[in-house]
Amino acid sequence: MPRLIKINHATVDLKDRLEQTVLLIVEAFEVAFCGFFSLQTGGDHFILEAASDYSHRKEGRCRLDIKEENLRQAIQKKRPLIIAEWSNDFPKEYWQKIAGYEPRSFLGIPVSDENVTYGALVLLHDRPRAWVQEEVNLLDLASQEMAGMLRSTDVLLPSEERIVETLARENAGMVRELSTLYKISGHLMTTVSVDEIGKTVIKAITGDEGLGFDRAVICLMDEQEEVLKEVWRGEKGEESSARDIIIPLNKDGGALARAVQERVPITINANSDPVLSKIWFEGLDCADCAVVPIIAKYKVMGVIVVDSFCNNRAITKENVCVISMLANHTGLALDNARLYTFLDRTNKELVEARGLLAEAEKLAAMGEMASTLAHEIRNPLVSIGGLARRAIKVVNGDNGGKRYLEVIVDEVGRLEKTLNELLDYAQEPEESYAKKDLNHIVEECLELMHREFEEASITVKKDLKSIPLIWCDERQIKHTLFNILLNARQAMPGGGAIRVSSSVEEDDAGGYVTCTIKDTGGGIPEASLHNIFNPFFTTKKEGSGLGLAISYRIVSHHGGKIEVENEPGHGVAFSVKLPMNPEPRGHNVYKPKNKIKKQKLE
Amino acid sequence: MEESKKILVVDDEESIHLLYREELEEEGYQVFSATNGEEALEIFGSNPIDLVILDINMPGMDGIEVLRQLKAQKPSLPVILSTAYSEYKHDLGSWASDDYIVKSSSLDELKTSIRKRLG
Repeated sequence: MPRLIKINHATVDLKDRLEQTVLLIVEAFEVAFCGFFSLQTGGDHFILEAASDYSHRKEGRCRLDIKEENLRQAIQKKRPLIIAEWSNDFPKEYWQKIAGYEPRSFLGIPVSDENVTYGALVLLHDRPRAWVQEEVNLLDLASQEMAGMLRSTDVLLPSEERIVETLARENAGMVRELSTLYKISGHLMTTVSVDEIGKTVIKAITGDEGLGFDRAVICLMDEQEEVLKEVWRGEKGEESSARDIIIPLNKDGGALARAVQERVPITINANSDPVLSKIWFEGLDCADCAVVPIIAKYKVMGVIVVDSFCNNRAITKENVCVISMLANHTGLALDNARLYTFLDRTNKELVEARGLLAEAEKLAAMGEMASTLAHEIRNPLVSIGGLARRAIKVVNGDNGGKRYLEVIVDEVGRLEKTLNELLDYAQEPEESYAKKDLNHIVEECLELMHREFEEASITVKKDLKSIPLIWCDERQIKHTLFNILLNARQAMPGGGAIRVSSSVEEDDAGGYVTCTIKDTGGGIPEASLHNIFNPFFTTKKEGSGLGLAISYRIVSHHGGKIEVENEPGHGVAFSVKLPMNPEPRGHNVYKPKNKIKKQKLE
Repeated sequence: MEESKKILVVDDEESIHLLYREELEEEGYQVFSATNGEEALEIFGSNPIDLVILDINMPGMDGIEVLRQLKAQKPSLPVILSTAYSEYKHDLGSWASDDYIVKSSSLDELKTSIRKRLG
């Protein structure tokens, strides 16, 4: 036994170990032959795996299939089969071939562990031989040791040539696939372009350097429509343009829809799937396909469909495994790209919004400054200019004083003109009317106010209906909505709710689109209600009182109106109604202020 | 001879008063001066004023409040807003006041407006 254990640890090659074991047994028990026969899985025959001598090979046979029912039954029951002296009811034909002489006694010991029956250890002798219990026990121990060897190797293959060959092939294949996967994943993780990801994966699956399938198609989910759409496709490493294929995610979607819904890879012959055979192969010969879902963060993003339509190779479990790994990488890469795109877009919007805000603040600051300056400078200018005019009248003679005063009057006039132009610029930038989506303008205002609302614990509920585009000056309308939203916020210092809704109202004149902003700020006292659109009317400590007045003016210029629904104690709702009529400015022709002033100055 | 029309000028700038007084007296009007809202209402209360020229931005009671109170007392009283702010013309021009004139060193526009209202 110690020698046996030594064998077990001496070499890694299973075949060597088995052979050394049987040789050891022949020597120790002084028998003519010992061999290990493996029981073929599912079969009813044995194959000789190791023998103390291979005399049968002299007859040119290297493989023997032995059908021995008595032995099979005995080892299945994990009992030894003992024949001290051969009788006629036990066929000796096979054993004679193996031993090379006529055996007279037989001992078969099962080689098995709790779960698996590997085969039998068979001893033959050329004379009748009594197999004593002690010997049987010892051999039983040896067989257990053998079972251990077999379990640890866990391969039981017909012949050594095939073991080596298969292992080598499998290894080479695995190494190639793994290195391909490694390369692809490296590539996938360094790109954020969705299209590049798709093309890389197609190339990886179908290219010679890649996994070597003939054809691959990637479909991505369209979440809004709940369908799969073909996005990339390629054959033998060459990318071809995707077809306009849309697959519903119900029973009409066949294996593709099933792979998405059940989130498992499916291997299927296209012939047995109506969607694959009709749509996918377009009447071409159908092959085995693997349909593998692309999953990232518990979400199915699409499927990869792979087939080998040229060599009609079957798709193995290992193939599916590798494609699944690739699909996982693809999912992650697509998710990364999606996040990146989202981040990039949000960032751009943020920069844009910040720019707009800065611009608006700058304009507001400029307006304020110009306005203050105007007031401060205009009064002294009026006095200087006005009194100089008077002085011209009272100066007598032509001693030069009159000419100086005329220069003062002219220069004051020039300064006043400059002042007016400055105010025009600050107060009334060019109007620009265009077809705009009121919902979009509302959204932008809410976006700009988002933080302010959040800080003031004000929740915003949106109920924006689909409304037609209207002809308006986006900047001015934004200003109007902004004013109303700002009032709403200031009316709710302790938090509250704002409900913003949009709707369409048809009438004979073309109808209105309406945006209603409703707050829970306690409403407006009845006594003040009639004043809210009056300039300089304000209930706020720091308000100019111009916000709603200007808003009212803007909406009037658009041919629209502002309606107020006041619920004292609860809140107030302002509705901005803008006409859908393509030329709303026709209702109320707006004369820019600067024109009036220029006339005045000349 | 017909008694001259009485004009109340309300402005916080002394130099404006000097200019307006001389120019308007030359036109034959009797000129009253007030440098703030309270004073303006006081003068209006004790004199038969025919027309008011009113500045908007003043310390204390502003022009809009003065306008409101004047109009409340005598809705037919012509009031001309005369201010350094040009940008409120659209908001105020059509509202309670009778005219809105941006202050200028030339008083021609103001004089035309007064003549129109006082005949």
